[in-house]
Amino acid sequence: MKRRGLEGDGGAVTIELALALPSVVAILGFVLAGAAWLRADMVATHAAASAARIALTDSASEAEAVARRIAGDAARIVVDTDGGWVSVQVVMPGAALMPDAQATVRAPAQQ
Amino acid sequence: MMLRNAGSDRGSGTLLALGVLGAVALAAMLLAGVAGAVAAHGRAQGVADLAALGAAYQARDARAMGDGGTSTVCTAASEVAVANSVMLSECVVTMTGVVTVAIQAQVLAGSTTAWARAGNDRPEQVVRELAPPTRKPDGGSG
Repeated sequence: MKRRGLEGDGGAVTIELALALPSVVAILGFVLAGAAWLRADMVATHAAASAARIALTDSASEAEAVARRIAGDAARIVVDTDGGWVSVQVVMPGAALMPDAQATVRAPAQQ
Repeated sequence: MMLRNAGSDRGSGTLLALGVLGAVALAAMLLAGVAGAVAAHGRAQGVADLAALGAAYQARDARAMGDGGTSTVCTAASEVAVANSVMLSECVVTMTGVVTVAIQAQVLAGSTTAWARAGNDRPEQVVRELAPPTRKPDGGSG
Protein backbone atom coordinates (compact mmCIF):
# COMPACT_ATOMS: atom_id res chain seq x y z
CA MET A 1 0.00 0.00 0.00
CA LYS A 2 1.33 3.40 -1.01
CA ARG A 3 1.24 6.45 1.17
CA ARG A 4 -0.35 9.34 -0.59
CA GLY A 5 1.24 12.21 1.21
CA LEU A 6 -0.55 14.97 3.06
CA GLU A 7 -2.10 16.87 0.14
CA GLY A 8 -4.94 14.57 -0.78
CA ASP A 9 -8.30 14.52 1.04
CA GLY A 10 -9.03 11.04 -0.15
CA GLY A 11 -10.46 8.95 2.66
CA ALA A 12 -10.75 11.84 5.12
CA VAL A 13 -14.53 11.71 5.10
CA THR A 14 -14.48 7.97 5.56
CA ILE A 15 -12.16 8.25 8.54
CA GLU A 16 -14.19 11.03 10.11
CA LEU A 17 -17.36 8.98 9.74
CA ALA A 18 -15.58 5.94 11.13
CA LEU A 19 -14.58 7.94 14.19
CA ALA A 20 -18.13 9.25 14.65
CA LEU A 21 -19.71 5.82 14.28
CA PRO A 22 -19.11 4.76 17.91
CA SER A 23 -21.13 7.79 19.06
CA VAL A 24 -24.03 6.75 16.86
CA VAL A 25 -23.80 3.22 18.20
CA ALA A 26 -23.65 4.56 21.77
CA ILE A 27 -26.78 6.68 21.27
CA LEU A 28 -28.53 3.71 19.69
CA GLY A 29 -27.54 1.69 22.75
CA PHE A 30 -29.01 4.32 25.06
CA VAL A 31 -32.26 4.36 23.09
CA LEU A 32 -32.55 0.57 23.23
CA ALA A 33 -31.73 0.55 26.95
CA GLY A 34 -34.35 3.24 27.50
CA ALA A 35 -36.93 1.22 25.61
CA ALA A 36 -36.14 -1.87 27.71
CA TRP A 37 -36.46 0.18 30.89
CA LEU A 38 -39.77 1.67 29.74
CA ARG A 39 -41.09 -1.81 29.08
CA ALA A 40 -40.04 -2.91 32.58
CA ASP A 41 -41.68 0.20 34.05
CA MET A 42 -44.96 -0.44 32.22
CA VAL A 43 -44.98 -4.11 33.21
CA ALA A 44 -44.36 -3.12 36.84
CA THR A 45 -47.18 -0.54 36.70
CA HIS A 46 -49.58 -2.98 35.08
CA ALA A 47 -48.71 -5.73 37.57
CA ALA A 48 -49.08 -3.43 40.59
CA ALA A 49 -52.37 -1.90 39.37
CA SER A 50 -53.89 -5.27 38.48
CA ALA A 51 -52.78 -6.76 41.80
CA ALA A 52 -54.21 -3.79 43.71
CA ARG A 53 -57.53 -4.32 41.94
CA ILE A 54 -57.50 -7.99 42.89
CA ALA A 55 -56.61 -7.01 46.47
CA LEU A 56 -59.82 -4.94 46.53
CA THR A 57 -62.10 -7.53 44.92
CA ASP A 58 -60.48 -10.72 46.20
CA SER A 59 -57.62 -11.06 48.68
CA ALA A 60 -54.06 -9.92 49.30
CA SER A 61 -52.63 -13.38 48.65
CA GLU A 62 -54.46 -13.65 45.33
CA ALA A 63 -53.16 -10.16 44.52
CA GLU A 64 -49.59 -11.31 45.01
CA ALA A 65 -50.18 -14.29 42.74
CA VAL A 66 -51.59 -12.02 40.02
CA ALA A 67 -48.64 -9.63 40.28
CA ARG A 68 -46.25 -12.59 40.04
CA ARG A 69 -48.00 -13.91 36.96
CA ILE A 70 -47.79 -10.54 35.20
CA ALA A 71 -44.33 -9.39 36.30
CA GLY A 72 -42.58 -12.76 36.06
CA ASP A 73 -40.21 -14.66 38.32
CA ALA A 74 -37.47 -12.02 38.38
CA ALA A 75 -39.67 -9.35 39.93
CA ARG A 76 -39.68 -8.50 43.63
CA ILE A 77 -43.24 -8.19 44.89
CA VAL A 78 -44.27 -6.80 48.26
CA VAL A 79 -47.93 -6.78 49.29
CA ASP A 80 -48.39 -4.82 52.46
CA THR A 81 -51.65 -4.42 54.42
CA ASP A 82 -51.68 -1.44 56.70
CA GLY A 83 -54.45 0.63 58.24
CA GLY A 84 -57.25 -0.10 55.81
CA TRP A 85 -55.01 0.03 52.75
CA VAL A 86 -53.24 -2.61 50.73
CA SER A 87 -50.13 -1.45 48.92
CA VAL A 88 -48.63 -3.52 46.13
CA GLN A 89 -45.04 -2.80 45.17
CA VAL A 90 -43.51 -4.43 42.10
CA VAL A 91 -39.79 -4.00 41.39
CA MET A 92 -38.37 -5.17 38.08
CA PRO A 93 -34.60 -5.56 38.54
CA GLY A 94 -32.67 -3.75 35.82
CA ALA A 95 -30.25 -5.82 33.73
CA ALA A 96 -26.54 -4.94 33.79
CA LEU A 97 -26.12 -1.24 34.63
CA MET A 98 -29.79 -0.39 34.27
CA PRO A 99 -31.69 0.97 37.27
CA ASP A 100 -34.61 -1.00 38.70
CA ALA A 101 -38.08 -0.13 37.47
CA GLN A 102 -40.61 -0.04 40.27
CA ALA A 103 -44.28 0.77 40.73
CA THR A 104 -46.44 0.99 43.82
CA VAL A 105 -50.24 1.12 43.78
CA ARG A 106 -52.36 1.46 46.90
CA ALA A 107 -55.88 0.13 47.14
CA PRO A 108 -58.42 0.39 49.93
CA ALA A 109 -58.50 -2.91 51.84
CA GLN A 110 -61.47 -5.11 51.22
CA GLN A 111 -64.37 -4.28 53.54
CA MET B 1 -24.15 13.89 0.91
CA MET B 2 -20.89 15.70 0.39
CA LEU B 3 -20.08 19.36 0.29
CA ARG B 4 -18.95 20.35 -3.19
CA ASN B 5 -18.39 24.07 -3.07
CA ALA B 6 -15.54 23.92 -0.58
CA GLY B 7 -12.11 23.22 -1.88
CA SER B 8 -11.59 20.41 0.56
CA ASP B 9 -13.71 17.54 1.76
CA ARG B 10 -11.92 17.50 5.08
CA GLY B 11 -14.35 18.08 7.94
CA SER B 12 -17.47 17.33 5.94
CA GLY B 13 -17.60 13.87 7.47
CA THR B 14 -17.60 15.40 10.93
CA LEU B 15 -20.38 17.77 9.93
CA LEU B 16 -22.39 14.89 8.51
CA ALA B 17 -21.81 12.85 11.65
CA LEU B 18 -22.85 15.77 13.86
CA GLY B 19 -26.01 16.17 11.82
CA VAL B 20 -26.86 12.51 12.15
CA LEU B 21 -26.07 12.53 15.87
CA GLY B 22 -28.18 15.64 16.41
CA ALA B 23 -31.13 14.15 14.56
CA VAL B 24 -30.88 10.86 16.45
CA ALA B 25 -30.57 12.67 19.79
CA LEU B 26 -33.58 14.87 19.00
CA ALA B 27 -35.63 11.85 17.97
CA ALA B 28 -34.58 10.05 21.17
CA MET B 29 -35.68 13.00 23.32
CA LEU B 30 -39.04 13.25 21.55
CA LEU B 31 -39.48 9.52 21.98
CA ALA B 32 -38.64 9.78 25.68
CA GLY B 33 -41.27 12.49 26.10
CA VAL B 34 -43.95 10.42 24.39
CA ALA B 35 -42.91 7.32 26.34
CA GLY B 36 -43.15 9.22 29.62
CA ALA B 37 -46.64 10.41 28.76
CA VAL B 38 -47.75 6.91 27.77
CA ALA B 39 -46.35 5.47 31.02
CA ALA B 40 -48.04 8.19 33.09
CA HIS B 41 -51.34 7.54 31.35
CA GLY B 42 -51.02 3.81 31.97
CA ARG B 43 -50.52 4.46 35.65
CA ALA B 44 -53.44 6.92 35.75
CA GLN B 45 -55.63 4.31 34.04
CA GLY B 46 -54.72 1.73 36.65
CA VAL B 47 -55.60 4.13 39.46
CA ALA B 48 -58.82 5.14 37.67
CA ASP B 49 -59.92 1.49 37.46
CA LEU B 50 -59.17 1.08 41.13
CA ALA B 51 -60.91 4.31 42.16
CA ALA B 52 -64.04 3.45 40.16
CA LEU B 53 -64.12 -0.04 41.64
CA GLY B 54 -63.60 1.22 45.19
CA ALA B 55 -66.29 3.86 44.72
CA ALA B 56 -68.67 1.25 43.28
CA TYR B 57 -68.20 -0.86 46.41
CA GLN B 58 -68.91 2.24 48.47
CA ALA B 59 -72.02 2.94 46.38
CA ARG B 60 -73.22 -0.62 46.92
CA ASP B 61 -72.72 -0.32 50.68
CA ALA B 62 -74.37 3.11 50.75
CA ARG B 63 -77.38 1.76 48.86
CA ALA B 64 -77.58 -1.17 51.23
CA MET B 65 -77.85 1.29 54.09
CA GLY B 66 -80.48 3.31 52.23
CA ASP B 67 -78.14 6.20 51.55
CA GLY B 68 -78.51 7.42 48.00
CA GLY B 69 -76.01 10.25 48.34
CA THR B 70 -73.03 10.50 46.05
CA SER B 71 -70.70 12.34 48.41
CA THR B 72 -69.35 9.31 50.31
CA VAL B 73 -68.99 7.46 46.99
CA CYS B 74 -66.89 10.17 45.42
CA THR B 75 -64.95 10.63 48.65
CA ALA B 76 -63.96 6.97 48.38
CA ALA B 77 -62.78 7.53 44.81
CA SER B 78 -60.89 10.64 45.83
CA GLU B 79 -59.14 8.80 48.67
CA VAL B 80 -57.89 6.17 46.23
CA ALA B 81 -56.60 8.90 43.92
CA VAL B 82 -54.83 10.75 46.73
CA ALA B 83 -53.30 7.52 48.05
CA ASN B 84 -51.73 7.04 44.63
CA SER B 85 -50.56 10.66 44.21
CA VAL B 86 -52.97 11.56 41.42
CA MET B 87 -56.09 13.73 41.31
CA LEU B 88 -59.75 12.84 40.95
CA SER B 89 -61.00 15.36 38.41
CA GLU B 90 -64.50 14.01 37.83
CA CYS B 91 -66.88 11.65 39.60
CA VAL B 92 -70.42 10.79 38.50
CA VAL B 93 -72.69 8.32 40.28
CA THR B 94 -75.91 7.09 38.68
CA MET B 95 -79.09 6.20 40.57
CA THR B 96 -78.25 2.51 40.18
CA GLY B 97 -74.81 2.95 41.72
CA VAL B 98 -72.65 2.97 38.58
CA VAL B 99 -69.62 5.18 39.14
CA THR B 100 -67.68 6.97 36.42
CA VAL B 101 -64.41 8.63 37.42
CA ALA B 102 -61.73 10.65 35.69
CA ILE B 103 -58.21 10.61 37.07
CA GLN B 104 -55.78 13.35 36.19
CA ALA B 105 -52.03 12.78 36.42
CA GLN B 106 -49.20 15.21 35.78
CA VAL B 107 -46.79 14.59 32.94
CA LEU B 108 -43.81 16.72 31.95
CA ALA B 109 -45.61 19.52 30.15
CA GLY B 110 -49.21 19.12 31.19
CA SER B 111 -51.55 16.42 32.39
CA THR B 112 -53.23 13.28 31.18
CA THR B 113 -56.74 12.08 32.03
CA ALA B 114 -57.87 8.48 32.37
CA TRP B 115 -61.51 7.40 32.63
CA ALA B 116 -62.99 4.35 34.27
CA ARG B 117 -66.47 3.10 35.06
CA ALA B 118 -67.58 0.47 37.55
CA GLY B 119 -70.77 -0.73 39.17
CA ASN B 120 -73.79 -2.78 38.37
CA ASP B 121 -76.41 -1.53 35.93
CA ARG B 122 -78.93 -4.08 37.16
CA PRO B 123 -79.88 -3.14 40.72
CA GLU B 124 -82.01 -6.26 41.27
CA GLN B 125 -78.81 -8.29 40.94
CA VAL B 126 -77.08 -6.06 43.48
CA VAL B 127 -79.93 -6.62 45.90
CA ARG B 128 -79.75 -10.37 45.37
CA GLU B 129 -76.02 -10.40 45.95
CA LEU B 130 -76.39 -8.31 49.06
CA ALA B 131 -78.85 -10.72 50.68
CA PRO B 132 -76.11 -12.90 52.21
CA PRO B 133 -73.05 -10.86 53.19
CA THR B 134 -70.89 -12.06 50.32
CA ARG B 135 -67.25 -11.13 50.17
CA LYS B 136 -66.90 -11.69 46.46
CA PRO B 137 -69.17 -9.72 44.17
CA ASP B 138 -68.11 -10.22 40.57
CA GLY B 139 -64.33 -10.06 40.21
CA GLY B 140 -63.24 -6.80 38.70
CA SER B 141 -60.43 -8.12 36.56
CA GLY B 142 -60.27 -7.89 32.81
